[in-house]
Amino acid sequence: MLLRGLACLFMVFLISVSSADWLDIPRGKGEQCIEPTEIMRKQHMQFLFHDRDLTMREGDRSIRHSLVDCVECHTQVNQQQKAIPINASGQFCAVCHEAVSVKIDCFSCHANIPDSSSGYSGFMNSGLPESARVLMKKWAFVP
Amino acid sequence: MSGSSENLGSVDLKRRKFMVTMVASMAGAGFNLVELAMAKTSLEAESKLVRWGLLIDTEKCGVGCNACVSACNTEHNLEDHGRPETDAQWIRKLDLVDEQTSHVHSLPMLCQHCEHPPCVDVCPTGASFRRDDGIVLVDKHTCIGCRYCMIACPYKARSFIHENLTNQRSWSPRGKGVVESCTFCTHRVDTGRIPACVEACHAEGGGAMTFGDMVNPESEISHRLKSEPSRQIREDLKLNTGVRYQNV
Repeated sequence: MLLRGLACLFMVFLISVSSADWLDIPRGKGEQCIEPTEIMRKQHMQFLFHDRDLTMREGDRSIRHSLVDCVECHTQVNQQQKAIPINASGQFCAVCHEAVSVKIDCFSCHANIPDSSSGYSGFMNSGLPESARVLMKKWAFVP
Repeated sequence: MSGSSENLGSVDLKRRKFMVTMVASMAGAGFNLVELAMAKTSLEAESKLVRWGLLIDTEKCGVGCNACVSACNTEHNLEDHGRPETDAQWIRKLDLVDEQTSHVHSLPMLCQHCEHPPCVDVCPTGASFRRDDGIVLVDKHTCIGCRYCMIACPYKARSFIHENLTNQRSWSPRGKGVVESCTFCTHRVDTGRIPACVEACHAEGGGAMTFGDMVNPESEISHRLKSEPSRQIREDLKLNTGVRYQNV
């Protein structure tokens, strides 16, 4: 009887752990992530690994799973409307990884706040987008 | 001894005859082994139709002009740590002085995006690689920071990062403990734009740089490479560089 009770309690614990409801995870923008939440929780790393190689090795910029997009959607802002780094304690990446003692080092290299709040948007809106496009057309015949 | 070797010989002969018959019968059935071995996937064949290159007319490159360098530093947030010996530098200006006439020539030096890159040859982990469109990159996820590539590169084009970095650009992930160099601004090139240095050279500098597809016969860079003289730096190494210079 005692054993059965313990087993039941353990099952309840497992279910609560796997649903991650006991953690206070900040909500991202929009209604739904690009993949169902349950799949994202288990497989986000595989998605990122796969697509980073596509971009880096083959130059494919149309990938579906991009770390930049994760940061774009899931970064919170403070009271001064300044972006809080996504890996800061209590933020989207840190909540789960701290709970399960996983140390990630993505953000020792990758930007941990969105481009829109990094103070430089050269790539997104350069001073010369039109002339650069004209030059590109002339030199490389890119439509 | 001789008996066994004769036996082996006869076995080999039989085997060779068998192979010859097999190949002959395959060829007869319209099955060509050579073509099969050389077949490429459609994706591979497509991307190899491009090779990005840069032509630099050093006559137009101003002595003292630093537009390309500062544009690169801003685009990739290459911060100055006050240690010029080890600070990251993807493009730098070199002044060449003719000792006889004191004439000063200036040119930008950057990763030459070689067809046969020595950095890729020596990399023990496969982190240094050449994309199908000719751009030579470092896969920083695989780089262990051994710096063999920095020693192998004849152009001193690569930098090792000694400090913890912050405020990286989303399109240019950079961090401590790995080697990095000019990427020809892949984030721009992949989205139909020209590298930051070339853009700045036309906006603020002398317009010395021409970027484009070296294998497309219609592009300006291949027209000019065909009709005007140009040189590779250290052409004796036969690396077939993607960066070419004029008037040096």
